[in-house]
Amino acid sequence: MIPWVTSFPAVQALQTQSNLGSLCVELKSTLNIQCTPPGSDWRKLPASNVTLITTQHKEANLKSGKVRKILILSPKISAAYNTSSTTLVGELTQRDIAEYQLVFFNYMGNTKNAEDAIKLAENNAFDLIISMGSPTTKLLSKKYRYGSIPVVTACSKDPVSMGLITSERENQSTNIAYTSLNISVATQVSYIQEKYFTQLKRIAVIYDKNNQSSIITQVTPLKNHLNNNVKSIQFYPIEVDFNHLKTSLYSKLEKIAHNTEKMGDSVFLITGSTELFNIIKDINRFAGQVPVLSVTPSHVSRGEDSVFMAIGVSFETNARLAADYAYRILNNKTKPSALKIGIVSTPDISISFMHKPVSTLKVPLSLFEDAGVIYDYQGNPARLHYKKEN
Amino acid sequence: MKLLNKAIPIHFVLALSISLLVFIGIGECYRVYPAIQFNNLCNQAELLKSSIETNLKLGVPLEFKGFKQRALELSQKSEQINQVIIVPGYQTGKINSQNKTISPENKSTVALNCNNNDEMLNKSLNIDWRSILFMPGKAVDYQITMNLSNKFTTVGQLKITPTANIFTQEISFRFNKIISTSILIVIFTPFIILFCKNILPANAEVVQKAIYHLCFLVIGIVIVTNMLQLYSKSIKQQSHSLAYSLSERLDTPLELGFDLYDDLSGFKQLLEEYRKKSNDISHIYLIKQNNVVSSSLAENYEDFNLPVSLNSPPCDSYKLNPTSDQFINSCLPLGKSDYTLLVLTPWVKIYNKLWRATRNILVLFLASSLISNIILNVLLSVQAQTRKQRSSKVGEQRQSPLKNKIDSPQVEFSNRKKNKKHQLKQPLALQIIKPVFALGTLIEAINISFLPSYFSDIFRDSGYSVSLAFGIYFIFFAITLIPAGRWAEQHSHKRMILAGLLISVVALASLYTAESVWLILILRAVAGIGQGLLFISVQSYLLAIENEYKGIKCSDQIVIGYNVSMISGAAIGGLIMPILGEVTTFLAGALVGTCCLIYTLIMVKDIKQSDTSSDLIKKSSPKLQLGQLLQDKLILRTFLLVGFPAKALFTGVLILIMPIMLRSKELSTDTIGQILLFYYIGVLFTTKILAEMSQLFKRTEWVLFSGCVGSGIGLLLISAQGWLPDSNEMVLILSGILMLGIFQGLIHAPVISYIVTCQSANQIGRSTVAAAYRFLERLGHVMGPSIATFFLLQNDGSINNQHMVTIAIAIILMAVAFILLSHSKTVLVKA
Repeated sequence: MIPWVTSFPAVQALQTQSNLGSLCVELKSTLNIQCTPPGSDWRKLPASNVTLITTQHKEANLKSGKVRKILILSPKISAAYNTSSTTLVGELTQRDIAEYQLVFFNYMGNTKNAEDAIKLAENNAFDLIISMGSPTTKLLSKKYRYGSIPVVTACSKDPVSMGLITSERENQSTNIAYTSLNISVATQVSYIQEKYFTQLKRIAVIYDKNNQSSIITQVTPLKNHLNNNVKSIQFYPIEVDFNHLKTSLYSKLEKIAHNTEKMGDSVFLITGSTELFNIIKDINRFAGQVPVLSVTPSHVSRGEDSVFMAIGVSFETNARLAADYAYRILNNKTKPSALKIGIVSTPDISISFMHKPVSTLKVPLSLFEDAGVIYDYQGNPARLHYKKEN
Repeated sequence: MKLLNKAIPIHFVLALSISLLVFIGIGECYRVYPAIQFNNLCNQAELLKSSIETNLKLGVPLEFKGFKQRALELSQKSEQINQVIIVPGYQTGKINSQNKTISPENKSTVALNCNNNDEMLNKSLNIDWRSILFMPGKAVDYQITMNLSNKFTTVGQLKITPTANIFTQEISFRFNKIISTSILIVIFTPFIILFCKNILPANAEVVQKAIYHLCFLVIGIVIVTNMLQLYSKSIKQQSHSLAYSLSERLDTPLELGFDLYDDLSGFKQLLEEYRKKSNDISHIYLIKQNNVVSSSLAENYEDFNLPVSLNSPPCDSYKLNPTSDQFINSCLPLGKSDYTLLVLTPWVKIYNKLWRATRNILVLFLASSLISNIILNVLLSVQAQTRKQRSSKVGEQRQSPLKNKIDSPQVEFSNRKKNKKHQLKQPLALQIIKPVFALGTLIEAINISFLPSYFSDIFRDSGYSVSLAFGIYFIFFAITLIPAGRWAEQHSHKRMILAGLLISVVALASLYTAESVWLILILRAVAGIGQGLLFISVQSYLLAIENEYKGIKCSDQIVIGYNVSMISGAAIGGLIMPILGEVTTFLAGALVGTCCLIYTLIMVKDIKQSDTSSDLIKKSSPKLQLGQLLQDKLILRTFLLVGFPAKALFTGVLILIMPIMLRSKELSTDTIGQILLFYYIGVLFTTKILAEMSQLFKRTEWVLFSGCVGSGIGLLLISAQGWLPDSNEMVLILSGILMLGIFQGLIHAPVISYIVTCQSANQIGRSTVAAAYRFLERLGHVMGPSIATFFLLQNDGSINNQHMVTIAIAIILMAVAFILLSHSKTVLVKA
């Protein structure tokens, strides 16, 4: 809990039953902030999908007088969006003595509702829109690229890989400040190779053939990077067909595990996919002594269902970056067009010693020190710096 | 009262030289000790910052109570840190560079930046004279501010307040005692000297000098001993605080339930990182029970290593090695685990730091001895003169009065050296004039070690070569010589000396504020005029003494005086510049010049000049003299093949190129000054040998030939350093410079003896030929820097060694040509 943020008196606590109920519970439990019904204007929108929170500084004499209004627009119910929204609110209120009015609106995939919400925000002189999730970012990039209210994206995949903008330069003319849930593949590879597996010869990438966004934002950039820049490492794709897991995945895992000559010359890398994470036990089993890594920090968790190590960007870290961009824009320190695409340079590292392949494979101290989440040999948490244990 | 009158001059000389020694000692401590303390402080601060930032990057908020706890622990455990505050604050955009010194809120607090090097730290530190001189000093508050960043931005600051007077307190404490001892020595030694002189009147001079040097040596030893204690204590603290910080970091995985050796790797890199943080630590070992898990050893220390399996407790393990007493150790167990951290620092690191201080003190001893010898000789001569006067008054009724007043100087023959009774004692007037020339030249020599690099900084981007500043000095020096010589024939030498000194002092003092290139060039020209006037007036004064006192030879006094000044000036200047800074050193030089001016005003009396001393200058114009001289083949040959190259080599290579070359090797100013001393010591040595053993060097042309060939070989040695490994290059440079000095000494005085054997000398007079030749020689001085810049300095400021070889070979070939062209007539050395 952030000590100086107190709750605004709730008018009516009806959100627990709404689509935003889980978010309000999280806000309450984490930041002790309560959701309240929004003003009359916002009642034009579906009531169960909109809520308002207001924050104020506990030291009244430090009031700046200015209330900052932010619209947080999300496309669906998602634990990731809840985590991201909570972190973002926490970061903003922690940094600033200003008061905030934040309207959360879940447009449930209905773009008309999203456009209505934006108009309402414009009419009520809102200061900022947070675009939560890749679908919202896609929508705003298409419809609101040159809008009057600045936009910061959060919990969204890399905008260049998604084709929303072609380059950094193009971003300079828009009113959107992009952040990315993906770290640069170069950073990812250098972490894997230089900091740990110095003898690495092959990265076998496991991806869901139906998950196009992970193919676009994770698989293809990695393939291009290895083929063009790191020719000493072979790119080995494992395209998973969930209808034929044995042939498309398990037999390939076994083959690589069998052909590995030396510990650490091959690794498996799982892309961000819930479906793949659901079969992680089997992947670990067939992988044998080859380390299983992931690009998603949430793939490292307590107990059996975990990969050995994840090197990527957590939702929390991305949200903190988005909060930093939001803070700068709100305080007139910069314009969205002046901000580079926000890619986290130092990835979040999570390690589960329970899934460390063999005892001879040791974890470099530098990675251990950088890891925010560590589980011990029994799968119990040893360090949880940014992870919320469920 | 009489005793006091006798003692006061000795008090004065002793106080002056011991003050200089203590001052250099304090400066040396201020150069080394604060840097060690600061390094230690920054290591601790950076390690805390790095540990906090690691957690910030993991997502831990700055408000995490553990950070405050760590800060508190550090301030409680560290002897260097008084307070550590973590200040939250999101100032993105305002503070984003860690290289920038962040100003503290309190303006009286001095902000320090850990990215500053030692030299910048020293500039920000002022010597706390108040507390050194027993008065309660004003505490200076320092603060180190470091930005704390997470993955994206600066989230706060770490403000570290060092312990009050951390950089100066220990120095003040120790020098309080040293100064007390020095004051007692200065007060009582003169009385001891006088007492001993009364007991041993036959060896009065030896006693006086021996006791004087003994005092100097005693104070020097006391200073060096204190430095040893000071440096070893601070280096021990440094190694201990690093060991402590490293142990804290290694404790973390242990506390989380992991084993360092079984679960983790990469300790080698971690130990390397820590070892390199301190230049002094040589070994770090991570030991589990009795087994070495990981280690990091500095280069050159691989010989000393612990076995993988130890037979004794980890903290005592290193003691089994026979050379273990060469190390200071810090041994820390890691928490409650069976791991131990052992950090070793070799004593030799402390001795190296001390060696520089000891070397500086030895050099200062040499410099101070040379100058104080001249002043002591004046004192002894004046005292002897006074005794004579008293005895003459007693014997007045029995014999005619002696002409022994200072204002009408007479020869004083005394028992200077019992075993050389045949030698004449130098007259009082000669003893009195020696300090004038020595101090007058010294004020320029003080700058020799740093002037090229100082001017290089100012002249950078100005479009002018730094050699211009040296060229212009020698041009004006040279063009002053002949008019000054003519003036000296008809006017008071004393006034001319005063004018020369005054001009030199003004030119030097004005450099204090001079920042524009043009003003510097003008001031160098003025300084050249001043030094030219001083040179010619002292030379004329010496000639007048020679004429007045038949049998006294003064010709080598100029060479000796010049080189004594260069040795003392370069040494003292090189030592005081790092303490005072360049411009204040100019002022210090001007102050010495002013003292010399006052001394001249009081002590020096004009000598009546004989008619024969003006020779050609009275008879003909300078143009006619030079024209006639240049037609003389001997003079032309000697000038072109010997004099010109020798002088150009001196100004071009020694004055201009060597300081730049040595600076490029990252040598400090005092070291550069001390290296250049070898040249002057060489010249002084040869000049003395030539004066004492002139019979051995009968054929002057062969002496000059040897001088030129030796100089060429010396230059070859210097140039060879470019092709050899670093460890050998300093040996070559030192040998080359010493050789250059020794062999140039074979040219400086003998060349005049050789020149005056020419036919023209019979027609226009020996003195005139000598004076005019000196003028011609100055062209070598003038052209030296330009030739050196053109051939030796490359565009990037580095030295072209290949061209240096070419020049060396050219000098040797010119010497061969000279000897082949010389007539076979034997010329006796008359140096």
